[in-house]
Amino acid sequence: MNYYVKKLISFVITLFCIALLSFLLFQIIPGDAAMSRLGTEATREQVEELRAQYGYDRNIFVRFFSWFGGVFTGDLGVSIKYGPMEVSELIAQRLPITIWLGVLSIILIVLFSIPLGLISAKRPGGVVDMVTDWLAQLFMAIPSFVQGILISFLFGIVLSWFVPGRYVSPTTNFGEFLQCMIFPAFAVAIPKIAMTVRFMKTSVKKELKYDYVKTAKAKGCSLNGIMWKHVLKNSMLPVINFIGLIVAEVMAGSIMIEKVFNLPGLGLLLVNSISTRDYTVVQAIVMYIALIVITVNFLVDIICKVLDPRQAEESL
Amino acid sequence: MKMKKKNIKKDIKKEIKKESKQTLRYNKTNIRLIIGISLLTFIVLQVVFSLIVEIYDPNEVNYSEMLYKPSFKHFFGTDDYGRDIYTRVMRGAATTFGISLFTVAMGAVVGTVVGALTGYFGGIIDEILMRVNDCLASFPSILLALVVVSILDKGTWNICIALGIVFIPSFARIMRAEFLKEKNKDYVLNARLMGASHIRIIFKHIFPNTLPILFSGILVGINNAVLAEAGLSYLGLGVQPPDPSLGRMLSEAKTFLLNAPWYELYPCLVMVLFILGLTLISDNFGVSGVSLRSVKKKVEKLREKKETDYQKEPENNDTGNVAIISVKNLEVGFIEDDGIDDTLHGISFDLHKGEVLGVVGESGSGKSLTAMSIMGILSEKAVITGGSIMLDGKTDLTKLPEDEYRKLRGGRLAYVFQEPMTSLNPVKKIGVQIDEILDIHSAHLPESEQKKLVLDALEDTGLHDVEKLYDMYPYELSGGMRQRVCIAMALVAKADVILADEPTTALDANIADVILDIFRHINKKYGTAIMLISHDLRVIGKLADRVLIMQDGNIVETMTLADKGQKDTKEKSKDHDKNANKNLLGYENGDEILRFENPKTEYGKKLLSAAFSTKKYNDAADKADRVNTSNGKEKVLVKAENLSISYKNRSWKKRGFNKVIKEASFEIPEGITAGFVGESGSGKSTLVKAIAGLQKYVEGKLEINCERPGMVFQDPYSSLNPAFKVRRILEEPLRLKNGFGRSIKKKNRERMLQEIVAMLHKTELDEEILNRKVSELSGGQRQRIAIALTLIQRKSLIILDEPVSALDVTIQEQILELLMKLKKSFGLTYILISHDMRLVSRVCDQVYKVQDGSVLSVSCKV
Repeated sequence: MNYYVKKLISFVITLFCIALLSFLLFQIIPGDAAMSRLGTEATREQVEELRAQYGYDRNIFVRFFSWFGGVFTGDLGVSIKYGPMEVSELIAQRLPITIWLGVLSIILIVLFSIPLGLISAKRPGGVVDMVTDWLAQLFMAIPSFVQGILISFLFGIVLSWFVPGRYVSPTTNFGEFLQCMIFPAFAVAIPKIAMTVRFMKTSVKKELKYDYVKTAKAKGCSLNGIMWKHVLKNSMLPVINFIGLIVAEVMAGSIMIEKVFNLPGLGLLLVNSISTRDYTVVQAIVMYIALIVITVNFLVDIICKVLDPRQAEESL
Repeated sequence: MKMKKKNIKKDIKKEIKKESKQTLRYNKTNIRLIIGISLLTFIVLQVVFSLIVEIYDPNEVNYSEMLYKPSFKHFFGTDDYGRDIYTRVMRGAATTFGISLFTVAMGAVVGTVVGALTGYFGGIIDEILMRVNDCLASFPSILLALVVVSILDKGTWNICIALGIVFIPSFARIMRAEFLKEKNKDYVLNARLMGASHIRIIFKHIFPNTLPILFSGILVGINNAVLAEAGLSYLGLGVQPPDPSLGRMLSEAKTFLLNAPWYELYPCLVMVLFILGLTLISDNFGVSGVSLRSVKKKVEKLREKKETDYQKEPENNDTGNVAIISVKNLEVGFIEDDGIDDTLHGISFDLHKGEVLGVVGESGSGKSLTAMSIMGILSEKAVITGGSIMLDGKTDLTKLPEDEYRKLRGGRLAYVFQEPMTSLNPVKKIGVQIDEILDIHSAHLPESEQKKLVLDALEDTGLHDVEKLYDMYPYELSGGMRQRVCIAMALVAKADVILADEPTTALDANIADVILDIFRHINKKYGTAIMLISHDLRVIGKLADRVLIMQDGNIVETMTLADKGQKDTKEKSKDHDKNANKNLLGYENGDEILRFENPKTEYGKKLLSAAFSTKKYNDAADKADRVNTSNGKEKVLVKAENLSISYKNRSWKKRGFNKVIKEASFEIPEGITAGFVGESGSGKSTLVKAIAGLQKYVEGKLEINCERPGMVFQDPYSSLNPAFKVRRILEEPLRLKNGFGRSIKKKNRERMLQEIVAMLHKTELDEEILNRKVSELSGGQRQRIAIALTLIQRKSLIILDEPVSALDVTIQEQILELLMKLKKSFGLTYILISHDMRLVSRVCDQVYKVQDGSVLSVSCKV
């Protein structure tokens, strides 16, 4: 039980720190939202008035804590560009798409990289190993947005398997929604699959050197038996940790890919808001993306502990 | 006839060697590395060339040549403004690579300094910085760069700074981990004992050892920076138009994918080839290209083919007493980069039913290799090149198909490994792991019956509460218990042969005896044949009926051990109690020695005398000498009164201090050898570290009346800096003493060399080794250098922390001889720590027993 409590405390501390960081980062910008909204021609009185209206004239600590509270209550201020729309409302609209994209990508990553890594490590230098290795190196060398463009070009324009740039909301038609999402998800996942396969392979190879594998061999286990019954579970632990680390990268990938496929998610909103200097929105998105990342990492720690009871003993 | 057969065998071997050498020669150079280097040079040369020679202006607009296809005039065609794509790609690559190099350099330098300081010093700053690092890691890197750029505004320099900031945390993280790992190694303690400053230790001693990691981190970093630049450009925050960069071109070209695909293709190609080159280099740097699997397969095939061609007559003719395992002319080699390195040179022996066969030899003699060959679990590198292993005189195991072999393993043949801590699968329950054997070998048992068999086997090894044990994980068991579980695995399948490979080496002495008793019990009860492998003749003497002595891959001698039962053992041992073999330390020398006959070979004699050596290094004559030289009055070097040493407990649950040593009091006079004995974890190492001044949280009085003591550590592999050559290692204390900075005058250099050479001779080493790295030396040589290192600092008090326990027995004796000789000629005082009562009683003049934190003086026979 102690393990979970400890992890929870560290989760809360990290949460607080990232909030502080996201908040402070935007205090460096000269001027503030009031100024950028009214433009340079505004009179001083107009600016002061708007500042008072949004509460920008308050003490920095007061502002931080009211903003931090807003992260949970959903009161994050008003977007400049999208008129009187609440930031939280804006985010609530976009967040599900990004989460769907992320979840689908991670499912693809797990589905492809774990078996491929295991098979490659089973016969190093074999056909599967060679092919995956070269493909992985190739896909790791192409920027993810180029891969997105190529996928959208190949499957969208040449093969017409989907309509690039089209988006159907899940509430209207879930099947078509998935159809719209699966290609972007592949575009996000492929470079990460390349990384994870290589990581999985290294992890399995390391496990194969351990004594317990010799013991299993000496028991009369077949190579397949050793791989699936003994090595898989042990080599999964570092891989699950690795996937936890990759979640941040998946989020980064979806920022690019949402722009390529024109998906109305958080990433697209972020990019548009940056170019319109809508910092209230940028700040909120940065916070929520980091929040997703640390939440997933927290879950990963718990999964690892369930899979390997040792871990708790050692880290306490 | 026999002669001819021998010749044929030689021929086969020659052919195998020749052919494998050819395969290896073909494989040896790592092709991937070469491809990587050539790709990188190819791209970089073109980029450099395009910077020097300008054929087209990269930004010159020419509307009459829009979107031209690749041609001789324009290698890569032209873009939508009629600009030459080749020139733009090369110029863009220069910008992109420039940005990447700058950002990675920034990340690496700042990250290394932060990582080194936090990793080395630890403490509160480390905790804060790591927390900040964790937070930064929760922001996706591109997001962070995006935010930084949007705050700083666009522009090439701002991108550099933004990406640089993004790379700092990852470098800080890997360097911190490296420094954390390295700072606990003994060579760092050694440097501290020399009086090196922390900054010198960080940058001169530890930093060189982290270079390989830093190097690969930099390569991966450049790779990521190139991709990140591309991403930023795509989002419109990168290099601003009209200047090209690879990322900009890639995103500009996307609208022309259909009518001008080359526009997208070429910048992409340049980027891919560049990154591919980097990855290939970082993956394959220092990796040999030899595919072990293919060589191994080839050798196996060749041997099978050749041997079946030549051998027609049956191998075994005598039907009378057939051995279970009969090894004939077994040859095993290791696949190296330049051919097969023979390790077992044709050994032959039999293992009979009910017999305990000991195999003894020093490390590298091939004893484990023999057992693994029988079991058919040789590593990827090792391959059988000749000979046969007959089971029941019928099946040749070396040619058995894998599927049939598998049925024998765990069934008739069982193996017990040295390391019980690692030889069980950490994430599976004990019961399940034993159960698995029955699942594989006797498939049709009902579950309850199967479980009963498992529980019986566990009970047979003397374990209690087996029901509970069945559902426990290995980490909940002690080493001795785990080793019993391993033995139970052999029992459950009713194995005919147990191959026990150093089964007691990793265990404390009293538990080791229990494990040997279990083996004896199994052998008597079931008639199981046991092959007991050990480096220690005393272990062999407790159990074996016969012993093979191995040296360098040959069996040099076979000895039959006298039966314990024949001599009236009880009577004898009672005699011993009263006579020579019982020490006042409570250590029983036992009667194992009596079981060995007189060795016939020189090596056998050497081994036996080393293992059972009773040579004393602490005799009275020495003592008399010592007292004379110090005018009858002994000077006390170390004096401790009510000394307590604690560790700070870092875990949240039990904050506070753990007392490791409680209220110890002792005195060590000059010129003696003082010993501290105790089992692992008793606190003896902590105690001597406190004497060396390496321990925080020391209470009570600890007086040391000489300069800081020198130390010789147990593991000579970690106590000498692996990044240095021998000469540099021995130079370090001299440099520190004389305050030599970076530039050392030639005169001084030569003077240091003379001093070092003199010291090498004193420790009986050759000058040759001066220019070797530590990794190229044997254990004995390393330990001699460790001793020379303390002497060159003119230390008079030297702490020996298990100085010989990592060495082979014959080497152990040599090192002891050397230590005692040096003690006399330099007038040294030693503090010896060991778990080995026997060693301590032979060497020390004064002995303290460390047990559960208390230090007790024990009398020692002098």
